[in-house]
Amino acid sequence: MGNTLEERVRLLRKLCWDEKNGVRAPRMLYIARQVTSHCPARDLMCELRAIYWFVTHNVRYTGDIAGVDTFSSPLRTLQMGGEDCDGHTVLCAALAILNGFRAKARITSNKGLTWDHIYCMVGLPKGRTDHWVALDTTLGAYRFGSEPPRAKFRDFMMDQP
Amino acid sequence: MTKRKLKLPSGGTLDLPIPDGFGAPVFALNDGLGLSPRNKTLVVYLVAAGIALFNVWLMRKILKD
Repeated sequence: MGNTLEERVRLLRKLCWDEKNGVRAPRMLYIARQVTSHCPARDLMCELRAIYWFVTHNVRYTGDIAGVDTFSSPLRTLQMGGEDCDGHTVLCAALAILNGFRAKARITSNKGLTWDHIYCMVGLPKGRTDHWVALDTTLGAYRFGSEPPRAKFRDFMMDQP
Repeated sequence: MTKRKLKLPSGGTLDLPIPDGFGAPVFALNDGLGLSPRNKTLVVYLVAAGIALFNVWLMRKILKD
């Protein structure tokens, strides 16, 4: 289970849209609205920066259990306070979706041989995808909009279950 | 119930309750159950084996009586 790239993304998307701990959970909607509550209405960059700030300041980047690729839903990631790149991606996507953005997961390969990293891309303006902004919260608090170097990448939409 | 204080960009904080008991940790691929799919299968097999052994014991007891 969860061996191919597609299967893993399907699992991440399912966790992102989880009824109890994801996009469909009222508590997640409340958190997402609180995160962007200080932004003026329609200030989309403020909202994206707020999501980036919130994730980098509340979820520490940490590794999985050795030899086991663990995935986590957005609320669980917030409750545990630490996750690796897939947990950060699912949380960022959920917060963006709950604020009206479209989101996708970008999976990258460092040298073109293996798939090594994943991060969230958010479409601008809201509900559309004219322009994409990277939210790679594993890079740290001051790298909003930055993408790490890569040899190749694949994108998977996250904004539907 | 344990609570985690989340920092908000606005400067405030938000209390996030963490449920106690089974289901709280994130140790499975499927999230939340605390068992990997392989271990879940193992548990099912062990329970089935236990029921089968109990049935054998019960049958023998009935036949003896």
